[in-house]
Amino acid sequence: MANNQLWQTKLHARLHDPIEKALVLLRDPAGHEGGNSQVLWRLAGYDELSKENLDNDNADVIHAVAFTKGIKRDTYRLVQRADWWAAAADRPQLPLDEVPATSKAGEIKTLAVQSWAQVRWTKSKDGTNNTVLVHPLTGEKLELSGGLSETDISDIKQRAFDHLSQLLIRQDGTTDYKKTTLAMWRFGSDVNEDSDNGKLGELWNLLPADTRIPDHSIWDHLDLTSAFAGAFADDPEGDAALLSLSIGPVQPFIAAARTTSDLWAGSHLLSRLSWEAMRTVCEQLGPDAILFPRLRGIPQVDLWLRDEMGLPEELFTKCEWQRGSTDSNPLFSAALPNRFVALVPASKARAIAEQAEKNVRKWLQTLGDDVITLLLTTAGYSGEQENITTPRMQMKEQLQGFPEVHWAAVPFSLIRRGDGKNQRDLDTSQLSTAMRPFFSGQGEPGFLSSSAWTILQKELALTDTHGKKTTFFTPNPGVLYPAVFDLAERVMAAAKTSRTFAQTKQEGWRCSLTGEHEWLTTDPAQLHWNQNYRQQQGTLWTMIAREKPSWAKKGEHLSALPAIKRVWPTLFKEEAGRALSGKEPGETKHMDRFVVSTHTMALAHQMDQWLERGGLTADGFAERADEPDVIRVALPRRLMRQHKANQQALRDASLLPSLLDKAAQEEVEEQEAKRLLDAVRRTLCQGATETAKDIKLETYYSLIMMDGDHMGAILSGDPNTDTTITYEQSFHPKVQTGFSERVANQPELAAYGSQNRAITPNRHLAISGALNDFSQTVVRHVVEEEHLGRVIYSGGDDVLAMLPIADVLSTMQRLRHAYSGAAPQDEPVDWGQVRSKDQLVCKSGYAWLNGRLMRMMGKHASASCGAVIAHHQAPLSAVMHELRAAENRAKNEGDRDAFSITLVKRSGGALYLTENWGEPIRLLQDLRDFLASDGVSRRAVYHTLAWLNEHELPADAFETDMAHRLLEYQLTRQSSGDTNRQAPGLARRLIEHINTGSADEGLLTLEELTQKRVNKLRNFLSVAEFLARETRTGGNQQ
Amino acid sequence: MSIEYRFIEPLDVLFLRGNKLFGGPGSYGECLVPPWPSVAAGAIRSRMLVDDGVDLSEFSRGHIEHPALGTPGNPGVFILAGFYLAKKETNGKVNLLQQAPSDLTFTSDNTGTLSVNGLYPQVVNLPSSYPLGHLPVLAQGRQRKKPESGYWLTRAGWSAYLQGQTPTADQLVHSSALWSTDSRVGIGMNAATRSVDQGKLFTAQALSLKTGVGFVAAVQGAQPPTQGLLRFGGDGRGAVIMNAGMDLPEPDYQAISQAGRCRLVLTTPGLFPEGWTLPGTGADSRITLPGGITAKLVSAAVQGAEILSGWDLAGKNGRGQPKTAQRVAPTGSVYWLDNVKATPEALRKLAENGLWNEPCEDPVRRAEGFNRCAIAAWSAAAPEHD
Repeated sequence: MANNQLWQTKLHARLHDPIEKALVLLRDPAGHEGGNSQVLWRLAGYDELSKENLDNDNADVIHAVAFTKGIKRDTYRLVQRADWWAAAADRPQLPLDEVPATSKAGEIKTLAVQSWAQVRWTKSKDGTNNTVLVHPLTGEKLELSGGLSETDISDIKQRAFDHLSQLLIRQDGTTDYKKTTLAMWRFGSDVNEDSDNGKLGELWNLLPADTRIPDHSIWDHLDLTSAFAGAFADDPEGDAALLSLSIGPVQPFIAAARTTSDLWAGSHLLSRLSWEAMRTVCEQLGPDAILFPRLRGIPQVDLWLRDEMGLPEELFTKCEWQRGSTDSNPLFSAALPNRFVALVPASKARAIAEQAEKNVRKWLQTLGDDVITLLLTTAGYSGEQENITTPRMQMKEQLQGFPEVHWAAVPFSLIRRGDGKNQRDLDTSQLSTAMRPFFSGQGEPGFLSSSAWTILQKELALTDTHGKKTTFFTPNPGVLYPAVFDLAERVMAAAKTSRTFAQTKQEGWRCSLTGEHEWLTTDPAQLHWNQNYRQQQGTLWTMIAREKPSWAKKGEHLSALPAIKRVWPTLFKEEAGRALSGKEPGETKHMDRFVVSTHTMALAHQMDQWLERGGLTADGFAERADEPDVIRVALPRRLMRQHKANQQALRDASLLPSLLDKAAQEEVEEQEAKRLLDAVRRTLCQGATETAKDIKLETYYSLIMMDGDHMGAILSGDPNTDTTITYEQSFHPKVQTGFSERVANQPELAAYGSQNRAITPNRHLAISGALNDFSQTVVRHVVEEEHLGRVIYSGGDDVLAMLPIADVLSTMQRLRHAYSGAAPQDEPVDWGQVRSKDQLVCKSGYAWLNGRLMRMMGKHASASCGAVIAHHQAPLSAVMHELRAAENRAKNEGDRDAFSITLVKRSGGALYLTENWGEPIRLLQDLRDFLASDGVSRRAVYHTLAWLNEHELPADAFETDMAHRLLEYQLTRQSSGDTNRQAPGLARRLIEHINTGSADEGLLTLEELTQKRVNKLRNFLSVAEFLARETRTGGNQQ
Repeated sequence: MSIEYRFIEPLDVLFLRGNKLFGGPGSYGECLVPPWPSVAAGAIRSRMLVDDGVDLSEFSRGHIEHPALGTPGNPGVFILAGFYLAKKETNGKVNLLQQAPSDLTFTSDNTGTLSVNGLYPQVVNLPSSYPLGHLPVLAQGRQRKKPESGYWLTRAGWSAYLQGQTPTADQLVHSSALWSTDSRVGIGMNAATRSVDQGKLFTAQALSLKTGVGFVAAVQGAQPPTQGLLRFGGDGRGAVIMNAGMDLPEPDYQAISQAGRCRLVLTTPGLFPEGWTLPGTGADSRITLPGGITAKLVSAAVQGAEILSGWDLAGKNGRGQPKTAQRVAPTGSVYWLDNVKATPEALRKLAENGLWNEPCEDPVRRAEGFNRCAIAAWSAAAPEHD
């Protein structure tokens, strides 16, 4: 089939259901004679198509304009099949009851959806608000405050037409099918109206495909239909396959980092490599062919649509990435995971996967060549580069085989259809045979033995105790999406068991960062020079270190991948600048990239408080700040925004860390170093109370690493994760009520309703969409707008961020709440009020921010977080090692849904604290605040630690209230004033928390139990005391 | 030639650094467990040279040839024929611990009960990126579980594995019961003046083995010391060397020879000319192994490349230089061989002598203990389990 035919088919698929269909279905006379008739029309098989070209559905004007000559019969059939499969894959079925009807032949019995299974998505006359969405991972109901009125509904059709007609791209009176399909995919769900769009605005992108099962949107349904239709159209046999592909290795690639900039570059580059692999699929089949991750709205994909697919520029003018000339621009976010799942033509699955591998490696080779050119140019080899072949050969050789690409594909043709015309009468024997080796146990493997499939696999005709007949549709292959997906995942996991590699020989001294490959050199003989000799004689890298210190520190000599990571920020900044520039060729918009140093982050809280007091400098600051080697450094975004009215103070603030860095340099004499430190310290004391003027400068900062729990299990619909809902839970409340009454006499139906829903493509789209919004929008807001932190990377469920110590606890807890879209403080908020709020609201599994309603992961999905508090000079690789260990402890020791803090002391030693969210983190915050309060001495902790050990305490100290009384005494004795009254309550909560043990404590002796409690309380107090100490350095200056 | 077994028990924390350059200001030296076998080979050879009164500097420059050790560039008959983690029991008996092969997976259920499952190669008629004919398949229940890592096989577990059985949970030890790590801050020294280099703070990960845990070195061709101390790993930390009466488990070579199929498991890293695949593998996956063994490579579980390097004492006219870095297949890599044509004796010899031909392609690396392997039975089918 010609390529244009592919895009015609996809466009027809995107337009086959009007967006407003579900809303107007029961009330619009222009539709298929009401909801029932369409169902009956299909059920009866009234789809005989006699003509070659079919008339347009005149009810849909957009469709008629796009396809002026009508629809080819073959295209119609493909789309019809795709629609059936998509609907079957995504929606639970509702029973059809036998009802009397009148025909020309007289009274007949026919099947119909009953009135309880019909939902008008408005506020009903009795005041019931039916404008309800169901969260696909929790079943929670989100009721649109006030509901939609009949007027709102009637307005939707016009709005849909106005909006979509702007997306029709025609040239010389002919529809450009490819561009129009891409524009409809990208912007159909994006309301682009200047004026307020009434109550529908925030719901537009969540409009349900079916008001009876409002857990997935019409956009998701159209995407899936288009994906199936495209795969069918591009395959000679009309067969689709599910392709799973991943690139890697992820961890070692990102972990090879010496600076926070390296960490950003590694994750951003990996995200870009993922895109280059996905692009192969997008270019051949469109971005809707990728079911996971959801690509809509990803800035890199937008650039591809605009610059390479040729969509009109004006469509993108309101995109967030068009605004902002700094690295807070979303283009700088690592947005894509290292894997994808796509629907592809079955016969082309291998070719597409292999082409994706080829393309991503070719893209990296080209980038590598550009990096060499830039390095040589920067080092001063401008005119003689063609003679310098060694680094280019090294680059090419070192990049061979990178990234690793693993993939597997499973064709839907494993499911045979006895009734090809109606896609029914399924034979799963081939699928079962293919699945068998991957499953343990007897009987049918996997989904084929599930209760859901047992009920759905054949036409179900039930008669209740009153003789009433009920029927389910017989399933089509779309229903077996869970089995095909599961098999593809298992085959890919098996394919990953061999990570093949070729042999290489790397001579001499090797890369400073990885130790694995030769460093890039202009002369292979230099590889045998030791560090000192290299410095004496000069190399490519000594010149780079001199000319461009951000690419290489003094002494660093880098191999291919680390070199690319170092140069990538510069190259990408230029790329982003070109993308955001005007239309003139060669024009580039200047982009600023701010790397906030660990040193700056350590000082951020103190600087914030100083700026709050006016930001005045001390004597001696100005003259030292004017020295040429004192340069401005990047500051946290919130600091810049909060104090933008005081530009002079911000400028001074940006010099403070640089003065401290200068003081630490070997070349600076000791006396001058002391004067520099003193100037900074006295400046930060300006405006502080007398008692707070003897402050120490904060030298510790924190890194946090958060990760969603059981993500693989959630994607695969594991019921143990509590993120699967039953068929009945996915129904609209009205349908739920009707269904419960209807199944009272039919246990088979009741059993169906209580089954967990099988995984669906739209479950994956919903998860991917939620993670996109969380990582791309919410995380940055929490870390950089609500707190003084800096996001290093945030993609999917992974977050890595840097924070000042004062913000670490509140940021972690806030991110955890946002991940689920459930913050206790937001529960009382009415959705009707959120529009007036300019802050993040997290409720019922959704997050509201800046006029957008975003689905989050829901209350049952949890996340764990590791945090490390370390000196700003501690080696980043060591800190990252501790951070990963802390995250692991949160997952394992904390049994997930937990956090773990590691406090690495500069003087040696470390403290570890692993706790669950909720009361423990509140208690830690309260204890920290208590200890940091005026009138409280931290001796309360020191004195407690003196007796808090198993030698001083009797074994039953925690059983007899002794430990509680002693702790209360110490906290009370070392506090005064208002805080004194908090001491008894804190002591009680601490002991209650310490006494709340894990299940295995029953196996311990009393002595062992006491020792465990002693250790836990010591850790808790010590960490709180340390946090109070560091916070307090700023806290007492007010 | 007989093999001498020695148990090496550390007296201190160890610095077992990997291939990364290390010691510069702000650098972080990560620990490699298990260390390269060359660490043990180097420690034992150094002790032998000292015992024999050999001038180490002269030896490193290649000016002295030791009767057993030869020269650094042209090793003698000394070969490290095996290197294992091991635990000395209270009765003095030494039990080896074998790193879990790549075809075993470990999962826990909600109650924390550990299950061990094996990969079983199957012909799967579905397109994938897998490069060989049989896909190593893991049969799991309806819900896939995330595999856990860090398990070691006890002697009983290793013995069961070699016989083609899946080891049971009680035949495993987790690494947390064998060692822990902690960070140590160090300061760089000036090599010429042996004084502290200002500002050159670095951090290194130290390995602290639990009481009784150490290493077993198997030496072929020479008599290693039976008592005394060794300088082991980075910084030359102290370790005791002692005799270890060992009895290594073996598979049923006769049965394997008759079955004509087996698994080949690397017990030390494999340095092969083509990278991941075994030496002697042709384009059609037909393979000729040392000792004239022929087979067809049908499947493999190789978890990516590791980088092998080291320090060449004799290089650069005795001043030393880094050895050429090459990629190795990690310890625990598994290769499934079908249509094996080999006598039981040939299979035994392969396990004893490793994947080296005669004349040896790389005598230096052979002496250091690389390319060692074991032969294990390949069970016909996956056992049924849930």
